[in-house]
This record gives sequence, structure tokens and C-alpha cells, in this order.
Amino acid sequence: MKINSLNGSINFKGGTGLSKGFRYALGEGFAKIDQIGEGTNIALDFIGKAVIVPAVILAVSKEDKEKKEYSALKNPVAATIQLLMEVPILMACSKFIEKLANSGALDPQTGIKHYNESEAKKLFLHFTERASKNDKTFEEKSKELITRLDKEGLTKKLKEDFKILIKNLKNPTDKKLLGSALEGYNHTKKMLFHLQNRISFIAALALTPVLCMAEDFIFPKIMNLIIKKPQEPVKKERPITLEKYINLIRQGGVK
Amino acid sequence: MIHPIQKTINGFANSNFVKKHINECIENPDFLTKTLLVTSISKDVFAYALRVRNTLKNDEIPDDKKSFVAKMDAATGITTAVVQFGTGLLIANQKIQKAICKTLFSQITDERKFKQASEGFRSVSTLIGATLIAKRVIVPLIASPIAGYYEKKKNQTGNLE
Repeated sequence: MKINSLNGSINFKGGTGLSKGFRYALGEGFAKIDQIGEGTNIALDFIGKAVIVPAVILAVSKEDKEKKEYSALKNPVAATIQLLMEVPILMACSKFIEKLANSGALDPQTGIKHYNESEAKKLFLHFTERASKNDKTFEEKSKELITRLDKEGLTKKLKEDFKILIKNLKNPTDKKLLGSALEGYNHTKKMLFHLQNRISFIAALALTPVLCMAEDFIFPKIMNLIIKKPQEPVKKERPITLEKYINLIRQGGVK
Repeated sequence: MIHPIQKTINGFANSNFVKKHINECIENPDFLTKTLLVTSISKDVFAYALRVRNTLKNDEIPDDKKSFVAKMDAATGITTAVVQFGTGLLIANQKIQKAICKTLFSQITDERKFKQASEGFRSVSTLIGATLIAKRVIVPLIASPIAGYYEKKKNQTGNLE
């Protein structure tokens, strides 16, 4: 690595050692990343607790083998319990907000609609239908994209495909209207997504005390089911003293 | 009649602050990355604060040890937050990101796609750096010896007393 003192830029010399094909696929993969939110945070936290922590414990800890294995195992169990509680909260909360938004309850009766994704989709489909009447080539190609839209929702890739199709429209009015409708639909979808994320975050934060209590209650029960209770150490007989020996003889002898 | 929960969500969603914040998240990927970093850290801080509170309220812990345990929890919470935030900001740094992306995505010739790939990489690498590396590797490696040192010191002082 070399830091340029004139403009402060950093240069990595010698490349990454990764093949060209892999680097291309990597770039393509990262370019497709669209909706990063609380789900990503929850997933990464789970991986950290379930995979990284046990790996660090097994590699670094100086405790004895049994303790090390117990410490390494308890983290994936705790992470799974946490995941099983956080994911339903995120899903239920997101679903509830989506339902409210799509019923129009989160937007004013008149004026700009920020969160009603269903309405924005309807508007976009209306203009697609209108453009299809004026352009047969567009009609054929848009049908396939609309089937994908119904299946996958408006993904980053699908939005790009629609954009290319709209760019080739012959009628300038259709091109302008449909282009705006697509941008509006995409923006509304993103507004709703971020609102769902912020509200889910607040809900998870508010429920932290309950989640911690539930985790403390469930965790030991599951650990007891997974791990056999360590056997009671065998009590060592105290070395027999002369006094004890004499007493035993008096009581009937030593076996 | 509108349900109070719906009314609260409506007020929240349509407040100028939230609308501005969400628009910034959409327009500015850097802002979104930092927002996610802050939400992730604040969950940890809140959980540690809760632990400190529970320790201080726990009557089963002797009074002389209570303050020590609470202080250790608070110190670990603060360390977790600071290390995560520092690592996140370091990884999200424009110059570092530019250099990595230039090398990593050298095969992408389309400028728009290169920008998209760089933005995606920046968000993911920042969150991985903060949530996986800082929180799960660096913090335990720093916190364990420090806790051990203070525990030893505390025990020695306790014995002298």
C-alpha cells in the first residue's frame, strides 16, 4: 500500500491476487445490492455471535478444553434465540407499516403521497398500459417485465431494465410520463422501506428489556437440553488416620 | 376513530425530521451507512445500560462488588461503542474505499455500474468491519485483559482491606 503525499490518495500495488472473472462477478454482485437495512444488521450480528465469537474463543482462550467448548457453544445458542426473537419483530412491524402505508393511512388525503407503494405501482402500470397502446414493441417487452415485477417487486435490476425499455419509447409524452412514474414508484418504495426500518429499530429498542428477560429465561433451559450436566466430581476418600483406624477396628474392623 | 398507534406512526412518518432523514438515506449512501452503524451501536449501548441498571438493582450482589461490576459493564459498553464507531468510520473513509474499489472492481468498465458496486461495497464492508471485526474480535481482545487487570487489582485491594 502506498500513500501519495501530494493528494493523499492511497494506491494498492500488486493487485488483489483475485482472478479477473472473480473480480468482475464480485463487482456485479455488489452493484446489485439494493436494500440495506435493519435486516442486514440483524444478520451480521447473528453471524458475529454464532460464528466469529466461537472461532475467537477456540483460537485464543487459554481455559481448559471443556470450558472452552462450553463458551464456544453458548454463543451460537444465544445468537439463535436472539435471531428467533428479533426477526419476527422486524417482520411483523414491517408488515404492519406496509399495510398502513398501502391503505393510504400514512399519507395526507391530498398532496404528495410519500409511502403508498401500492398506489405508486398502480400509477406506473396505468402509464405502461397507455404506452403499450401506442407502441406494439413496447407492449410485448413490457409484459415480460411486468410478470417479473409481480413476482420479485421493483428490484434494482428490474428498474434498470424498465429504464432501458422506456428510453426506446417512440412517443415523447409516454416516455416522459412513464419515466416519472417509474422514478416516483421507486422513490415511494424506498421511502416505505426506510420508514419500516426506523420503526422496527425503535420497536426492537423499546422491547430490549423484554427480549433480555426472555433470553435469560430460555437460554439456560436450552443449554441444559444440549449439554449433559457435568458429572459430580468423585469425592476423594480422606486418607485414613491412625485415630480413625483404631475407631474402625473397635466398630468391627477395616474392609 | 384513528387508533393511537396509527396516529403516532402517522405523526412520526410525516414529521419534517423523518422525511428529511429518509430522503437523505435514499440520496446519500454514505449517510445511510452511518445511520445503520449508529442504529447497530445504539442497540448495544442500550443493552449495556440495561445491564448496569440491573446490576445496581440486584440485591444478590454484595454492595462492595456491585459498583465494580457495574463500572466494568459500563466500561465494556463504552469500549464496544467507541471501537465499533471508530472502525466503521475508518472503513467508510472515502480514500480507503476509493483505493480498495479501484483494485477490487478494476474489471468493471461501466462507470455507473462501478459507482453502484462501490456504494454497495462501502455499506457492506463498513457494517462487517464494525459488527463482525470490531465488536466480535477487537473488543473481546481488548476488554478481557483490561477486565482481568482490574479484577486482580480489586482483589488485591480487597485483601489488603
